[in-house]
Amino acid sequence: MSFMQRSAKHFLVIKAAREIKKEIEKAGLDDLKILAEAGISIVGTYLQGCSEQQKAQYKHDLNALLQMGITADMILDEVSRQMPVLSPIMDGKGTYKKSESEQLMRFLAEEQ
Amino acid sequence: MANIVELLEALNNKDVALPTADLAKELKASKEGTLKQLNREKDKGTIEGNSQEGWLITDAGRKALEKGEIHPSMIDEGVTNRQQFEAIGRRIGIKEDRIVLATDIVWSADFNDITWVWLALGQADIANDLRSVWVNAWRAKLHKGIPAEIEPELTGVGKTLTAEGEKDALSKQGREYIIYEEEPVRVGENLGDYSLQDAKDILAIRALRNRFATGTPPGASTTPKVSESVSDILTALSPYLNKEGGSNIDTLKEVLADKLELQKQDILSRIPQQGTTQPKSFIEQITDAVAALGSLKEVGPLLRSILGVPGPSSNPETTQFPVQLTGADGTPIVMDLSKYIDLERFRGEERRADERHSAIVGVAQAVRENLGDGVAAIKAAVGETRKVTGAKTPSEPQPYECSDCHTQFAIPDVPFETVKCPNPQCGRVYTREEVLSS
Repeated sequence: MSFMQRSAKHFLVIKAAREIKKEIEKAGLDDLKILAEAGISIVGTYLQGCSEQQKAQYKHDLNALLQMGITADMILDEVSRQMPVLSPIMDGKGTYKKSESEQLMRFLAEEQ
Repeated sequence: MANIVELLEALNNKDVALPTADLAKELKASKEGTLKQLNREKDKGTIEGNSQEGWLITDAGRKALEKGEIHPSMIDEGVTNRQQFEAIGRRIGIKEDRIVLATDIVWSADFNDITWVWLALGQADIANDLRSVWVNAWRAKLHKGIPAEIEPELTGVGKTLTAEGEKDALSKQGREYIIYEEEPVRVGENLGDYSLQDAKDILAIRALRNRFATGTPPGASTTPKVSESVSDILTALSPYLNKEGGSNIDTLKEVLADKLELQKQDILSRIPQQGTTQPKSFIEQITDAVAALGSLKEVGPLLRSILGVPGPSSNPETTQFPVQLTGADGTPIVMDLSKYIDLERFRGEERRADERHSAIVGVAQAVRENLGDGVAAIKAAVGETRKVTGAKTPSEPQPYECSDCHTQFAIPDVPFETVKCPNPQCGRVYTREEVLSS
């Protein structure tokens, strides 16, 4: 993989994480904390509230990232980096980040 | 109206009181007039009674009648102005009560003033036809002329003129001029033969006739024809010129214009055309050829090549090929084709320049928005590359954990005095010494 490809990959990760960050800020950090404390999947809750059109758009974008070698773990890591306040939440419960990542992968594997 | 003797004799023969109506009938006079006479005689003491009880002759009346001492006054004779005025009204057929009313109004002012009489009869609501007859008869009685201010009403002439229009009226008024030694001369109102305008028109026609008769060279073929035509015009105009009632200027002008137009066409048709002129000289022929060659610049390229005429100049100003276009506001515009092409080319360049500018601005905006992310991506790619190649990072950022909120953050790889916890809910500030001592 060339340097430019690596740079592009990181760039896309950053941009994807930034979009997620926007949505998190829109939802309110306190509410997300409550969800995380209760062990409820934030990703699953968010996707549940999306329309079918939005879901299809997200699925298309995430699949494109996946083909470029960008996984859900990478994006979530970047989200944690951009929002340090989230790190304790996501890393506090040992498997929370992993379960969220799996939630995303299940979402991508869903049949439309 | 009966005289006073007849009145007294009629009453003298009756033994009972006689009503006014019966007395008037017997005397073949009007009731109102008879009543007036009766009242006057009552004042003299020759009769007694009234309209309700009837009238009787008194002893004094009988004695006066027997002695023949009855001398009728002007009133008795019915020769006063008022009586004569009333008599005219009766002869016209106006009702007696209306006569009395009208006369009272007339006599409230100067009854010798015809204008006032006219107005007074109008106030008495006398119909206009009867009113004018009454006033005319009264005017004749007084031997007075028609006042100018009521002349149209009394004669009816003015109304007709108004109806026909003021212009026509003016044109028919004032036959004050005669023509003497080819000049209009005023001889007085209604004493002349023409109005001023008629006289001028006639003199103009005469001048025209003299011009045609003497202006054309003798022996020319058109002279007899022209003279005949002018004679025709004058013959056609003669009914208007000699009309007793005054000429109608408009009709005269129209006829004159038509005839002169025919004459003009006749004269123009006799003018020889230029094609039958004498043969041109050599110089004139060369001049015409040069002019024709000049006009050939506008013919097509094929014809120009056959004729050997040089093509038009490459200067676009000389190629005039107008095309009609529609402007931005929908109005038609006519402009030269070459200029239109230049305009379209200019518009295309402008459009492309605008698009290019917009694209550049968009790219710049995108770069500005993503510059930080791009730099971070490049840094990440660099770090990853170093990990792959095993190269040591010159300065690895040291992680540091906030003692209050346990947020981990990186220590900047630059000289610093203080560092702040990135957790917005904490925000604790650490000094350099605190960070390095940990």
